[in-house]
Amino acid sequence: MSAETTIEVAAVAAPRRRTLPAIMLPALGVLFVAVFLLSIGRGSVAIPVDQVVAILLGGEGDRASWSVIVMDVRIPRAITAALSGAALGVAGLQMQTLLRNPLADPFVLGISSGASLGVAVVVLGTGSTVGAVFGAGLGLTGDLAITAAAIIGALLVLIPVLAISARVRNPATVLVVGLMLGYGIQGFVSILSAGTSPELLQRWMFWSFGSFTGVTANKLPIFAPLIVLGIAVAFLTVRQLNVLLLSENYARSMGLNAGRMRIATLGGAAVLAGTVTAFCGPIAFLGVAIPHIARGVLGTSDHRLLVPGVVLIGAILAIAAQMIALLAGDGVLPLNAVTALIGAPVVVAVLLRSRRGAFVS
Amino acid sequence: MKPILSTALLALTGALVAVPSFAQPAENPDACLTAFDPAADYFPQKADVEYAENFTVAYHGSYKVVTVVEPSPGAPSETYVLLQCGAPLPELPAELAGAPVIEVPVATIHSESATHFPMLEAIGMIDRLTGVSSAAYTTTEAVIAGAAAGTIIEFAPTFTIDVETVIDGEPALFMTGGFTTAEHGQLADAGIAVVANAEWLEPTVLGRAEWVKYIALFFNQEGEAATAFDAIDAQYAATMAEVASLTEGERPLVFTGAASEGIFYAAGGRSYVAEMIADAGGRYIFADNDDTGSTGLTDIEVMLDEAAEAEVWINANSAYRTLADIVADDPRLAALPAAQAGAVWNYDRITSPGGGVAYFDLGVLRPDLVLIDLVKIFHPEVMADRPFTFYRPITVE
Repeated sequence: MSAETTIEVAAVAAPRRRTLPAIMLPALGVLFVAVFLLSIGRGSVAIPVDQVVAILLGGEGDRASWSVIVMDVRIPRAITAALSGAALGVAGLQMQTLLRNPLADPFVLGISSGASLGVAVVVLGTGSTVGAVFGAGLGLTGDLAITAAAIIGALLVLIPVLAISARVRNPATVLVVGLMLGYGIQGFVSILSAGTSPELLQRWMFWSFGSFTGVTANKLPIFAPLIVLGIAVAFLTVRQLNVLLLSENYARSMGLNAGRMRIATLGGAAVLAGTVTAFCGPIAFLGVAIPHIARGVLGTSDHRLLVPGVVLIGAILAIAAQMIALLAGDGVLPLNAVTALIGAPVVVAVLLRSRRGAFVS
Repeated sequence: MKPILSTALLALTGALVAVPSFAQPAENPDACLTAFDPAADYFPQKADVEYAENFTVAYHGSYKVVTVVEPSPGAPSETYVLLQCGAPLPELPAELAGAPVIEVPVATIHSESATHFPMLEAIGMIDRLTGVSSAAYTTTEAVIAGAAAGTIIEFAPTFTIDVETVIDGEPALFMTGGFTTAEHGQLADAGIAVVANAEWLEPTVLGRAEWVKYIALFFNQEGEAATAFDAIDAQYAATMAEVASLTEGERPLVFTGAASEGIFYAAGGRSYVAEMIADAGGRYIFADNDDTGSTGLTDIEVMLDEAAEAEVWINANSAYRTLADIVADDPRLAALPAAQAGAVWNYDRITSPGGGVAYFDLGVLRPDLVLIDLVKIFHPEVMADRPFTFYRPITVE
């Protein structure tokens, strides 16, 4: 079964540029390593390259603070950015395929908003009794509670969006429904934030700016496994995703259990979007942009190539966005502003170019 | 003896005779006039503004012309005519034609900012307060009690002004918290006197505290305000003098604030926080910064680098009670030498059940008490006999 499927998909996807991915994927790998190293070498504090290298090799910097900055700020930040970008790209790809909608992604469809609501319920809802909550006060259990709430919140939006998309075939309609769900949920978040203390409100605002810098080394042991788990689901289901892309009827005729496949993909996307939102805030537009860039760069819609492509491009873009955010002189731009500037043009381009189903080929 | 007595009697008789028409009373009137003398100076007690730059007042017999230079950030100036109640409307110059005319002393006031309440208390006018935006974030006992008893209404418990509640409350004066909102226009249209209070835009702490004189203008309480402010001013100067002769090496390096999600705003180098650190005999890590408010959004790298040698950390985070709390929040901050030494101070010694912090309301009127706290933090041997008012350290286990 799977061999036939593969042939079909390859025929639909990219008959002319079969060699492109063979060049591009290794190139993306090299680019990822380069960007990752660059983001460790550069930050808002100027540290000479030889000092960074010495610190990375286990030595001490000229200033004690430089070791802390390289080891405890830049490395966790680069890892967090890479994992977040990969996660958002994969979640976006899964949803675009599952919903057969080129504009689907966790942020656009309100799934990030659902996750935000989960975070808001834990953080702002309990704020009056626990005191300040982000980290301090709740500690490790707080991180777990926030993450679980974010994943549940993501599912609360993802399930109705999926149900609606099964009835409504027009991608734009599903998009608008998702946007409306997101706005509705933002209303609840506003109600929660209106009753909270100014100090908590400021922390909430920083969180909603989006940031890869808040995930410290002691939080990575929760964050990283969840992301790896979510991405693993995508890697293990690439063939089924290819079949789903063609049509659900075709998938059924091929013997694919579409229902189970949907649940696995749905769960994976919710874990990815929920975890990233819980730790880094609602990151705008990366999820929708990354799969389109991957299709363009690799010249294929074959998920066996797209998933690794999306992981690499997502990691590269997220690290690049973080570096751009730090370029603002002494200051730092809200990460969401940078990712929106990267992602929004891609959404517009897709809208302008899209014919029905055009993203498939 | 006898001549003196008769002179006194004569003077007394003269004064009694003079009262009905020519009196020059020593105090500003605390009620409406019953008779009007166009030649009289009805405000013998005049506000003398030394530090505040964001408001001015000019006296004209029966009325005061008050201007708030910047009512909210970037907004054009506003001018009000404060007319002694009972006096006829004077002929105003053309430039004051559109200015709101407010009869003083006002009988009731609604206020948007908890910083006004200690000032109203200082001039003995807290019982005139009939409406507040929210009683949750104040530490002024009279306001908390008044809201609980229903004598003080809350017109913006979720940050947005409920216009109908304010109109129903019929305040003689509505004082803003230094931000412009659309609701202010609606209140003015409904005939309520809306005046700005933008004390928070003053660059200096004594300038901010001096807005007690501004509030007093509306109650004819210039005398009370001057007495209160002079004591604050004198104690601030005396506290500064305690540490004035310290050498550079005796002044500890200080940083403020805390990063959340790896980003933060630091107090600007020209801010009142920076000013007070310097006045209290400390050195601020961002002293060279030119911002009067806070810096722009700043990356945690900058804080870790600049604070690496700092000895004291103030205004950190009210959730920090122990070093373990800082570790749980962000181990990178907990590793800073000031945190390791337990030299972490928060300004929440006095809080209200609703989450109010006295530093933010009483602290605006009483920079002298804030300064004493800071001196005690930076130089424990100085003023050791004075108690802390606003600051508490984290506990070191």
